[in-house]
Amino acid sequence: MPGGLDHDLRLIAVHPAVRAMARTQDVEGGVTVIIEIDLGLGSRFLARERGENGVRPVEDVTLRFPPGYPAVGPFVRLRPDFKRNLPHMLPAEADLPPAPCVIDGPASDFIARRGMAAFVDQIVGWLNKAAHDVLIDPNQGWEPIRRDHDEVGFVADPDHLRSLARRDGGGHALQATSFTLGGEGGRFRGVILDRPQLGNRPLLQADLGTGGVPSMAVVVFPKKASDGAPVIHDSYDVDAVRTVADVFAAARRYGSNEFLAGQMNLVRLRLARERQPFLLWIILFARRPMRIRDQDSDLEMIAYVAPVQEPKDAEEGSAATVFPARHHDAVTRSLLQRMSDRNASERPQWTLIGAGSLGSKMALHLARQGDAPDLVLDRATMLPHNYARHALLPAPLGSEESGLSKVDCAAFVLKAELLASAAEALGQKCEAVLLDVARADAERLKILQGDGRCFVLDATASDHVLERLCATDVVGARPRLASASLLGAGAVGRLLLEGSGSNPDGLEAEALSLALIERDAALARLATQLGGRAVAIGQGCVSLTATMSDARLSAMAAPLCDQLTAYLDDGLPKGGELVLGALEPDGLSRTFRRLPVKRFRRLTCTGGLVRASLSSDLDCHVQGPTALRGRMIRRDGRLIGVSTDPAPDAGLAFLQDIGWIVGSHEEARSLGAKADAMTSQTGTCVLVWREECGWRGMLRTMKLDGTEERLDLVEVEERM
Amino acid sequence: MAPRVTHFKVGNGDQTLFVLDSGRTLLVDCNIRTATKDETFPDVAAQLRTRLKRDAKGRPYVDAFLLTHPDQDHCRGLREHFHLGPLDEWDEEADKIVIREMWSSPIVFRRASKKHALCDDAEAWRQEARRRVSKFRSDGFCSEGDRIQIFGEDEDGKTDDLGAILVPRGARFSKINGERDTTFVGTLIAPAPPGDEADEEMRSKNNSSVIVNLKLASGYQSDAARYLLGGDAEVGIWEAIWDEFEDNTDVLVYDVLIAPHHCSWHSLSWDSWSKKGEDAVVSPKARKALSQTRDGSRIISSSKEIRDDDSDPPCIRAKREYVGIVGKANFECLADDAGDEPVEFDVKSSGPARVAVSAAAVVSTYASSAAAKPFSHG
Repeated sequence: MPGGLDHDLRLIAVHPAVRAMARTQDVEGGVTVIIEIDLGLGSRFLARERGENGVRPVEDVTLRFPPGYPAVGPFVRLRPDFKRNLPHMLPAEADLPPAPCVIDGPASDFIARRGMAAFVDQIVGWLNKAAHDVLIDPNQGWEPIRRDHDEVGFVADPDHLRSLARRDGGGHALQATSFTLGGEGGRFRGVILDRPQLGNRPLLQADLGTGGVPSMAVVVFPKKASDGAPVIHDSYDVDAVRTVADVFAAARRYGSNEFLAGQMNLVRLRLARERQPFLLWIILFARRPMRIRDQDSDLEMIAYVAPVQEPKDAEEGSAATVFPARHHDAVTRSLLQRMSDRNASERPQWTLIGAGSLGSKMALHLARQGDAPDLVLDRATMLPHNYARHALLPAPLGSEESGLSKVDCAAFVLKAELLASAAEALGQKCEAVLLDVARADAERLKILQGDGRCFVLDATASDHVLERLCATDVVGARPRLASASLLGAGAVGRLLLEGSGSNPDGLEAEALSLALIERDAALARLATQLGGRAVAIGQGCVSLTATMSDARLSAMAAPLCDQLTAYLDDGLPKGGELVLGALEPDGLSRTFRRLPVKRFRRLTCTGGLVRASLSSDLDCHVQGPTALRGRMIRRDGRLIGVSTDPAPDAGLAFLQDIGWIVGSHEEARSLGAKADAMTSQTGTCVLVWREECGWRGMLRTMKLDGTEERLDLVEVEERM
Repeated sequence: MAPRVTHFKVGNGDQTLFVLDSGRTLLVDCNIRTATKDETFPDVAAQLRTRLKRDAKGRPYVDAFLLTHPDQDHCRGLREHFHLGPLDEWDEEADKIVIREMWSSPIVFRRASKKHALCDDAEAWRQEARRRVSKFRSDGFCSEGDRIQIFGEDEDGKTDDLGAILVPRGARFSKINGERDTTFVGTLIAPAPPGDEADEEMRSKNNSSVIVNLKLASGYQSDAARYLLGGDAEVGIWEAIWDEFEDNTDVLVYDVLIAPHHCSWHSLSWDSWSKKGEDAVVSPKARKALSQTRDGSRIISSSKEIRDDDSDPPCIRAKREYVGIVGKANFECLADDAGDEPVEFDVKSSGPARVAVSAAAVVSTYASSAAAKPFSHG
């Protein structure tokens, strides 16, 4: 007696729909029960003692529990004379009683999850649908044709194939690639090509093929009837096609036989010309009265494959054997969206800067849900040590020709190109550009512009790249900037988003995030406890990197991707935003916070040489005694400050605190010496103070040895 | 979930809940009795509540309440269990059931008289209906909780100005709670407007009952089941109906007939069962009016147990006539069904189907192993 079966049999016996149960012991160690199920049919069917399809008010159903139960689910059989050509039945041998398809997926999983009573409910429900002739539910869609024989698999993009249909039907001959699995005598597999090629290109053939077979495919669509209406085939069939002649007969039923005849003429010509056998994939489309189950089209794809050797094999009355073929969706954006529970609507594009470990992880997370970046910028080539954490695996690029191993070949290839290739293999367009963004001029960075782009993601974790992207000659000519980075060897994750109008811009968001981290002792410890390390990667070569496991990097990257997904789905918030994630002390948990960022007050000295950005936003996010924090980004003398002082002139106090002089004109002059300490590397310093008439400033240009070179009074413009 | 009809066990009385395929609910009559020291009843109020949805403010509601006629065994418990008055006066603590729309006979326009003596619940119905009609007359429309439809025209043109809220006799209607619902079509068969005084006498009380045929949809089947509801209408009404619809019997066709007046002989005969016994003669016209069946039709007696004696209602002789119409297997007295739970039918496209005890209820008492487990993915 299989484990736990007694209990489940009792559940069956007490099910309200079960009238009686008879049990027998199988010779093979399993248990078979025959149950009488009262379907609870409506009054009119009870009066007739029959539902539709000959279903009886009380049906006998056989459940066979194999010895492996519950790991292996029960087999469900109906009475032998139960109608067989109904939808939602399992393929069955003619000498076995018919078997209903009562659930999607393994019965064992269903019973483990929902219980035996629910399994019986499924059987009762199936029989009720059969009795009411509603096994095909318009809400669910038309059930695809059933094959009771083995099928040959092939891969194609259904959307592309359907797009070939003209209003009045038509036929097409397409390129196909076929190969066998399992060596000699193995089963054919195929890939139907002839599509704007993104994925599925030679990669599949090279990886899977153990013997390419010459192939082609013909695809035909149903015509219109003489009254102009589409030919709709609305009866459910069990596929009985065995020969080319049967295929023609099926095409006649579907209204596509004329187009099939035309395409088969081409096949005969090729056979006559080349005198070489090949595999012929025949794809018939039948128009159904409703959309096909789990698809958005009423055109059902019904495919076969036939080894054809000579022209007569493709004639209408040919007895050449054909095998039913089962279609699998090619890797397409729409397939990935379905699998990711995302609707098929178009979403804005985005661009990735930095195809390193974090960038590649985020790009591929999004690509696998159909949201690959449209553009990837990176300056580096892939090196073997990158594979410790990079999302991509060593790929077989040109390995056959060069004789090099896959890893060898994958090294020295541009990271951007590898990532773009991966996105293309996932059915999405992605352009790779070799570019050092930190050094690129504004003209070159115009590549970032794009009407449909939602944001640019900087995943380089480079101060220089961030500063370049926020430079005045670039900031207005690109989409909003998001930047992602990890601190403390993956213990802290950050996603920073600019506000609209780039206020806050990337640098300001960065300054605020650092201030927040400094204010939080635990977070600061996490962020700083582990820094970069030099790791030897070859003779005399080191990589300065934060060493961490791939898992730790991915664990922090994935939630940041969810946030990017929200931006793509819902649009960007008007203001800036910080997402901060931190590893909890248990080493497993990660806590994420989403913080809005207020706009910064900006002071710009005449000529735009010096800018100061001030914010009291810190007060919104930290608790504790008032303190002042600030950051100076040392490129072109720019100052960015944040303060806990919520007063309107918070920036004044901040500037005083860090030595940037604020006060009256005279005070500013007298405190000039103190300002020296804050002189930037570029030798420029700004003194700002407030007078009754507004902000005033002084620009002080210093020599690199610290001696004063020039002191100018400047006008200070305040803007939000 | 399929549309469902629930017949509560209320003794000699009526209380039937229709859950339409749209999900809207229609309650026909209520007879919510209060238990005494000597007598207990099924808790039909609680049974009703568990079958009702609550609105966004947590108020239980029926989309419509049809009172076939204002007899106590058709409206008992109205004041105690249903909210009467403007919706903003609903009291959370009392938690009474909101009647989003009343379906009422024109009895609300009659003055109380010896002929039309009303019990307290019926009077409460009349007052609430008059409030809603007045609101319609003053505002030209009614909102949820104030809505009402009047079923049948009244004498002296009293209903002539009701326009949008009047359902004339013979009309088909599909509006419920102010909206058209494609999952049911009702046909109003009675009451007819009163004529002369003798006619008025005949049509008073029981004979003022609203008689409707409800055609219910299930899934894609728009005519899945028909319910003929006749309140307490007696033989004269059924004869008049047959005279009128003899050539248009479709309006009388049913899958389920709730035996009029709790299986009373007076719905089938002018003779007294207690006086004439087996000599009592059935009215051929009334019988025909109540015999327009489809395959497998049922007749349900919402009554006490039917004894083989001279009591009426329910009357054994009436039962025999009904068994003659639908067969023994398809006649059911609610009092004969074991237990306190109501008798329920799912409306399938093949007709009403008796609901067995739910699998979930059986399993939950039998084994806890059937609790749904979250779907895991690997």
